[in-house]
Amino acid sequence: MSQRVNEINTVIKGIPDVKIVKPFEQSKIDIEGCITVFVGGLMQPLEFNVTIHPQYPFKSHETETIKFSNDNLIEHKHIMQNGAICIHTAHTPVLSQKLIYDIESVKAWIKKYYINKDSDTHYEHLIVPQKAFKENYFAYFFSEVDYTFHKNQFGFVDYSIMNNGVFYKENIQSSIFQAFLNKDRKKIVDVDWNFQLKNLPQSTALFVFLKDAPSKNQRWVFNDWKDFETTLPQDFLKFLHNVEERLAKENGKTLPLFVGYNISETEIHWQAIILEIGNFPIYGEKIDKQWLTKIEEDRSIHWAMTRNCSYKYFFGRGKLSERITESKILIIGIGAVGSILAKTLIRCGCRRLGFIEFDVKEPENVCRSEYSFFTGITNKTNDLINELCLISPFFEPINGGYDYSEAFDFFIKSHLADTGIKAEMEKHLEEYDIIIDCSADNGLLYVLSQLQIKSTLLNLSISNHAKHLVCAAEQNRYDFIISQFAGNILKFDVDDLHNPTGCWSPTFKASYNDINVLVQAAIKQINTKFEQEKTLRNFFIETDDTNCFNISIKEF
Amino acid sequence: MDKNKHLDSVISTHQITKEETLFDKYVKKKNEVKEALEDKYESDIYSPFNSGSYAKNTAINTKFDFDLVSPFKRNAFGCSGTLKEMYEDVYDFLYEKYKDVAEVKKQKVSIGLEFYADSDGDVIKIDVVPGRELSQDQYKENENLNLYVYYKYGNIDAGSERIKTNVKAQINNIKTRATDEKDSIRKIIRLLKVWKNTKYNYPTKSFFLELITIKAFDNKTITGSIWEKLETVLEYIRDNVTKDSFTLKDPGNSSNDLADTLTSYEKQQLSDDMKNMLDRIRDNDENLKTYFPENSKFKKEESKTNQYGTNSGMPVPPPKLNFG
Amino acid sequence: MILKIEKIGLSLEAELLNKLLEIGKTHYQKEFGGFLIGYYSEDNRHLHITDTVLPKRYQASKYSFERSTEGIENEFTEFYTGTPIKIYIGEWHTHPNNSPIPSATDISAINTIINNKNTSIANPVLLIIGYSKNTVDFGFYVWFENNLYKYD
Repeated sequence: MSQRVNEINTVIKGIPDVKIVKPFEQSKIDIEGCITVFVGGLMQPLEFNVTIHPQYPFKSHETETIKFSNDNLIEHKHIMQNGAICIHTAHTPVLSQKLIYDIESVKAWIKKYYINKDSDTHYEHLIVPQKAFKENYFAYFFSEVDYTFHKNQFGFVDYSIMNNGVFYKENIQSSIFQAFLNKDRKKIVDVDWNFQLKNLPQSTALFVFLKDAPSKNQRWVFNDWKDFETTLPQDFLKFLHNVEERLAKENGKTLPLFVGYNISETEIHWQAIILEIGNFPIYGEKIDKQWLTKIEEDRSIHWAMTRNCSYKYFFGRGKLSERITESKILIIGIGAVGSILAKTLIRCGCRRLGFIEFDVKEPENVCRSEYSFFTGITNKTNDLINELCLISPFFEPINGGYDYSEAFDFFIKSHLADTGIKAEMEKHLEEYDIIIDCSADNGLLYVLSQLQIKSTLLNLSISNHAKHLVCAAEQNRYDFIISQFAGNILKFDVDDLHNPTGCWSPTFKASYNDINVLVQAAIKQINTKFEQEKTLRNFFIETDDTNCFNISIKEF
Repeated sequence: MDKNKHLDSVISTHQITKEETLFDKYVKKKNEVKEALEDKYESDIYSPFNSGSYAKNTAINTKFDFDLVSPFKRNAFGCSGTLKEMYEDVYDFLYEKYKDVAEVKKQKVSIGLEFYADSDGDVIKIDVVPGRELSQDQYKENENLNLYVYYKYGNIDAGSERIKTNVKAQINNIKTRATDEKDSIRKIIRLLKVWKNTKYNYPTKSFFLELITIKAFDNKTITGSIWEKLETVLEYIRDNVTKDSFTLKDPGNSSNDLADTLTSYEKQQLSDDMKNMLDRIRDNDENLKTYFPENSKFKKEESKTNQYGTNSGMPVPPPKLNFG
Repeated sequence: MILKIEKIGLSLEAELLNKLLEIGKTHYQKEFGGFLIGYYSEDNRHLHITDTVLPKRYQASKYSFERSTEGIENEFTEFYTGTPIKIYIGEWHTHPNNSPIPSATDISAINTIINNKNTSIANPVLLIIGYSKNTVDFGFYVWFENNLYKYD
């Protein structure tokens, strides 16, 4: 017997309330044994098969490498699909110590979920075994809709394939719900996504809203079609039959069926089942001269994956203050600073964003802004809208086109003296809650500072080498920016300029990293002020790399 | 840069005499409103008077504060008439009279008249402050008035009915100090007003800045150049305004505390703004210009940046020069 | 951000500008340049550039240009004794197949002018002519209080 096996047996034997039923032995790869664990409040100790992987005491793929399982516990909370209880314990490189931690954690699980039947306040989704259907995985993304489904309502769902990807070693296809339709294919409600997603080609699926979860124990999803016998209404089964008949030509193709149920008073969840046309798990039977549609015996259900991509889940892990995310925002100038800002806002939960920019993206813009090489030469506005649509399904470009940008610049600069047009321009700009000028255009800065608008108006400017960022947020923005940059911005710093013997670089040098660190710090400062409900003041950000890198914010 | 030279230029470019035409428009408009009130309320009103910064000798030319205090007799709105009724009555009158030519707004203790831009693009703003004597004929003796508080104002609740004060005493107190100490108190007050004017809708009233400046001079030894004086006052505000024990007595009624016109949040903001200002000016003198800008309209155009330098004698190019 | 110098002016005849360009082009693909001559208005707010003096001795390559005043000293005196009095006010040179942006060498040349006691001009002007076969772009720069500013 190896020393490792010996050590395991000895340590476990020494832990109070734990008995070894079957001593640990080396199997082909793992070390296996069986123990009982007793906790005050139990009638008798609980038995666990214990499997210890070779990586133990280290984690592998972020999971513990020791499993405590008991098939009889499968209906309890925090049990994984394989019947192992879900534990997370402290890290230690010492095997004996780790065993003590892990057994402690098993005891805690028994107390919390077995004895006290504690149900966590947060909802836990049904466990859906993930199996490929004919070597393909399918995932469907849905989002909350403004519609209340009634029990046993069924019909069609239009969905669109977004991407074919790889799921570990197999293929996976990801799709989005587009719209719910009734059984006569009349639209009930649209699912809101960004315009590019809405424009994807659509396919048909089916839905049925059960109201109650398709589960016997609220833990595990139904396994077999027969489990549905008492829940699926006859008219839905008939609908299934009719659909299959109508689609006879497409035999062998897959058809998703979405099963909806409430997970709280207000929230519903959808699970997906993959049906194969021509092989639906139903048959007809004539009873009392009437045809009834029945569910076949011994047909297991092919569940696919679903994800709730509603706004609150999509941005569940972190977003900016609502003062920002709920605002309609205009970014003027989407070069390095503006595009980084735009992308950050969109990733942080903003939806309504417009841009103004006349410039065209060139390959040399890619290295320090948020554009990609792949799209080649194209208007920055068009390119950024594409980039942002790829990131957030909730992005709603407002006015972002090239024509709009042209008109904007013309009107704002050439009609300042015309009070009528000026008022129109003010009215137009006031439709935005926040306007951020990243254009580095002094003329525009001046013009904007002459307008009387209630919107929050910010100006972000970066100095040579991206050593400083100046953010003007107050009424005196023009004077502030000008005084901060006086003689500085156009100071032709000797190191700044290319020598024509080498290769040309017509603008000052600063990397994506240099610029991004400043822009992110500025967004952080603005967001912090908003979160603390304080008035935003002018500020500048200063960096210094003489020793180690230092960044500091100076508020005015 | 020379901070004192700059501050002197800030003060001189903001002199009210430099905007005489606009100032005259204000005076004319004020007199019109005054006459309108007198015509309407006849014997129910004592003579309305201007209590704005011009009256106190602390005005700047980028923002004229014209406050027209309208002292009503005790029974002007009936013997059981409330201050609220007074306020509403004056509002209704001004609204009907000026609705086509001005924006008429209910403000904290006053009614704001903002006349639409005239042909020169000038916008005249006059605040009418209705007040009522405490008892019949008492105004003639001591000029005390009750003001109505229309909406929440610092820690003073809306509809709390009255602020009893003596506006004339307020004016005189500040005017005397500002005139007697015109190189210190008056200059500092004007500078603080210039600063306040760089902000949009700053919650601190000018009256508050006037009183706190005087208090700083009373509590600290303030000497030296204009910058040194300003610096000391800014430090005084920074260090004292948030203290629980901090009070600002109303010269019109010593039981009123002007410190109550700001919430503790607003006091913190004021203190933070002073701190930032001092820190930034210490970082770099040039930042003084951001906080205390000259009125560019009257800036002497002598700056070197718009003139070529002069040469003496014939310039001779360097004998050898490389270009890239 | 472009800082404009609004209150001081600069003017020169298109003819002179064309002349400089044509002279420059004759040296293609090498750089070439010379001295700028002109006078200031009475209030010193306006500079009028009127003439050029070309160097007799110079060395040039695609990316560099070195000129000397040797042999042309008298020409400056002639301008200085005429009416109006015209003086040396700066330098011009070409950037063949490049944009008219000052290089590090150009900046240090400006510094040399400033620091030269005999030169005694406070605000030297630098004209760079960036040109190629089909394009031409003029860059006018002026030195003010330790910074180089571009004219619009």
